[in-house]
This record gives sequence, C-alpha cells and structure tokens, in this order.
Amino acid sequence: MDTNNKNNNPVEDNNITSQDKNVAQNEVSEKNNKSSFMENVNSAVTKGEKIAETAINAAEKAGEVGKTVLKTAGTVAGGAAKGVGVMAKIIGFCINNIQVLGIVAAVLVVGYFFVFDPFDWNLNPFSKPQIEKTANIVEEVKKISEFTTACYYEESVIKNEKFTTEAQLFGNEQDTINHSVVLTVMCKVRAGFDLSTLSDNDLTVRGDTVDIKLPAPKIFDVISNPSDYKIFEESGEWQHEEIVAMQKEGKKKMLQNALDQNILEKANTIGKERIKTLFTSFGFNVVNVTVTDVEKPNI
Amino acid sequence: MKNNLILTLIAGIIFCSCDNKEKQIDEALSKVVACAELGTVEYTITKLIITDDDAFFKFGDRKIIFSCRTTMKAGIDLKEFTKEDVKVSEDNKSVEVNLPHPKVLSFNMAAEDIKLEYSKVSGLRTDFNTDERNDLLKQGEKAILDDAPNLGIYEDAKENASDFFKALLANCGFENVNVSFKDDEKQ
Repeated sequence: MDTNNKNNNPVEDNNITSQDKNVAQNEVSEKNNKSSFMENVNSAVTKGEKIAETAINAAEKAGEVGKTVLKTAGTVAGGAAKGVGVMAKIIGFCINNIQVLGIVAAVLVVGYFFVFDPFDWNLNPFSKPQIEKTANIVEEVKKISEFTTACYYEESVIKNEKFTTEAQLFGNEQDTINHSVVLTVMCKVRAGFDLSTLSDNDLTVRGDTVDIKLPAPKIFDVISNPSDYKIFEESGEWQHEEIVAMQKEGKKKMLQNALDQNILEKANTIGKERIKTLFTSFGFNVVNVTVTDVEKPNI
Repeated sequence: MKNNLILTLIAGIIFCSCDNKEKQIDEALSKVVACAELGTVEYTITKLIITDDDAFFKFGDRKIIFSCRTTMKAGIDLKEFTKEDVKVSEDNKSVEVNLPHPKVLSFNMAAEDIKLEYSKVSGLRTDFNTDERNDLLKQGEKAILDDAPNLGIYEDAKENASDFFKALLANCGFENVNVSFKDDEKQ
C-alpha cells in the first residue's frame, strides 16, 4: 500500500527530496561558512600578531632613536655649555688684558697700512719709490715691412771704475775714493730683410715658378731695455749720464759680437728657407730665392 | 820630487777644467736663433717718468723726472702661420690667407734716449742711486708695454699686414686676395 502511495504520489516524493536537499545544502553551506569564518579569524589573528610584533619592534627602535637623540642633544648642549664657558673665559681674559689687546690691535692695523698701503699714502718706509701715472704719447706711426729672420741673444757684464779725490776734514791732504759699478745685461739683436725695398722687378712669376731677389739683410734693432739690466754692485756715486755712456758702449760691443757670430749671414740663410716655405704655401711648386751679399755695417 | 809632480798635475787639471768651463759659459751666454717675424708697424712713443718720493715721516724732498723716447714694433709671428692657413682656388686665381693675431715684436727703450730732465734731493735724503733710477725706468717700460693694446698698434699692424699680403699676392698673379685674422673668427 505504502508502495503504491509512493508510486502514486511522485510529486510529493519529489518535494520531500528537494526539501531535504535544500536542508542538506544549507547545512553544508553553513558548515562551509563556519570553516571559512574560522579561517578568516585565524588569518586575522596571525596578521594582528604580526602587526603587533612590528609595532613592538618599531616602538623599540623609536625608543633607541629617542635615546640617541637625547644623547646627541645632551652632547650638543654640553658642547655649547663648554663653548659658552670658553667664550666667557676669553671675554674675561680680554677684559682683564684690554690694554695689551688694544696695543696688539693697533700694531696690526698700523702694520697693515704700512705694508699694504691701501690708500697709496706711501707709508711703507721700505717700499721702492713708485712712478706717477703719465700719458704715453704716440709721436709717430710708421708703416714698415721688416722680415726678421735671425735674433742674437747675449748676456754680459758691464763694469766701470773711477777714482775721485776729496779733501780731508782735518788737514790739507786729499783722500782718494774708489767708485765702482757692475751691471749685468741681456741684449737682443734682430736682423732680417727690409721688404719695403722690394720692387716689381725683384719678383717674377712664371706659371708655378716664382723668382725672388731679396735685399741685403740688415740689423733692425739692438735692444737692451731697463728691465734687461740688473745692478749687481754699486759703490760711490754714479750719475745717470755716466751709466748711459756705459750702456751705449756695452751695446756697441754686443752688436759687434752679433756680427762676429755672423748674424747677417745666418739671417740670409734662414730668410731664404722661410721665403721658400711661405711661397710654397701659396701654391708655387718652384721657388727660386736670390740673396744679396752681406754688407757689414760700420759700428 | 814626487810631491812636486803631483802638485803640477793637479794644477794642470784645474787649469784645463777652468778653461773648458769658461768656454762653456761663453757659448751659453750668446746665441743666434732663427725666427720669422713680419713687422708691419712702428710706433714712436714718448713718456715722462715722474717720481716724488715723499711721505710724512720722510724729511725733505726727493724728486726725479726722466723723459724717454721708445720704439715699439708690432706685426705677425710667421712661426704661427702654417700651410693650413692658406687656401688657393683650383683655378689659382683666388687665395685666402688666415694670419695669426698681431703682437708686439720688439720694444726698444734705448739708454741713449732716456734723459734725466730734473732731479731734486734735499740734504737729509740720499740721492737716487743707479739701482733706484733703473727701477723707476723699469716701471716706465712696463707702463708703456701694458698700454700697448690701448694705443691702437694692433689694429694698425693688422691693416698693414693685410695690405702687405694683398700687394705681394697680387704681384704673384692672384686676382682675388682675401686676408683674415685668426682672432676675428673667434669674435
């Protein structure tokens, strides 16, 4: 009977089954929910523990930093206090020795003015006399074409000696006084060609060949400026004109030495090479340079 | 006898070595050097060199005046001029020359052109000695040389150098000659 009932009410059977299924599903889902909740709770607890650990570590570190900061602040404060103490000592010393310090400061200031002379008051007793600012006047401007090819340098010594007599302070006899001066000098002699004397006939061009006839080389300058002289020794009195006469004589000798060392011949040889190089750079393949024989000047 | 021989030998060695040294010094003290300078302008410059060596703590006057006449030559140092500074056209009718910046090639303040114009020294002061006078002249020399750029000598040197090369290269058959200076390119 029951069997039949069952077989006769399949819908009813189906309902029961679905209800059971739902209940079962709910139970399962509830279980699942519970287990996931527990898992979440566990992970949250773990995270919380970790955060707590980190917080504790941070707090510990903060504590250490705080200690260090406090230590540093203490050291700084201690240093400052020491500094203030030293300053106080210095101030105290200064107050007690104000006169001495005043003298030292005055000496320093005066020394500075004497040595460096910031306002050009000519205070330094050991400084050399200075020249005043004056105009440099250009008297003449000359166009030249001097091709210098040889320079002679010489360093030499010029010396002179003279004797004067002077009446003795007491008595009729005369004293003989010895005056001597020794100068060292650096002299420069420049020699080469005066190209302003070149005429059109002295330069001939044929295709890539050029023929040049150079004038005789000559001495352009014998130079010994004041900066080239050194006063090695001086005793007695020497007038400007006497020194000038010595310098003139010295220059003459040096010019003679330059000529003796064949400066003009060397100017000729070097000039020939230089002119060849110059004209080759202008594109000439053949450069023929004729030089004029040297005429030694009369000194 | 032995001692005499040794002494003579030593003396001989010393004598020979001195002679050699003197010869070496002679050689070192003078020499002729090759150069290549084209001077294109000469200035004659005059200057008064005045000193009044006076101060409140010095008793008495000490004054001196020199007048000097100097010559300054400027031009081109051709040692700084190379083949690369010349450009010739293929038809050999045009040439471009790029010259180095002009410089002062010589400055001559000859002793004979320095005149002592005035000198006054009070009884309590010492006279200007040779060293002091030369030091003042050195200062004058430096003042003139320092003023060289303001005198216009470089501009004149450039102009004359340009004229010289133009004339020279025109004589060599070039129809167009262009002269420039290395410093102009920088500006």
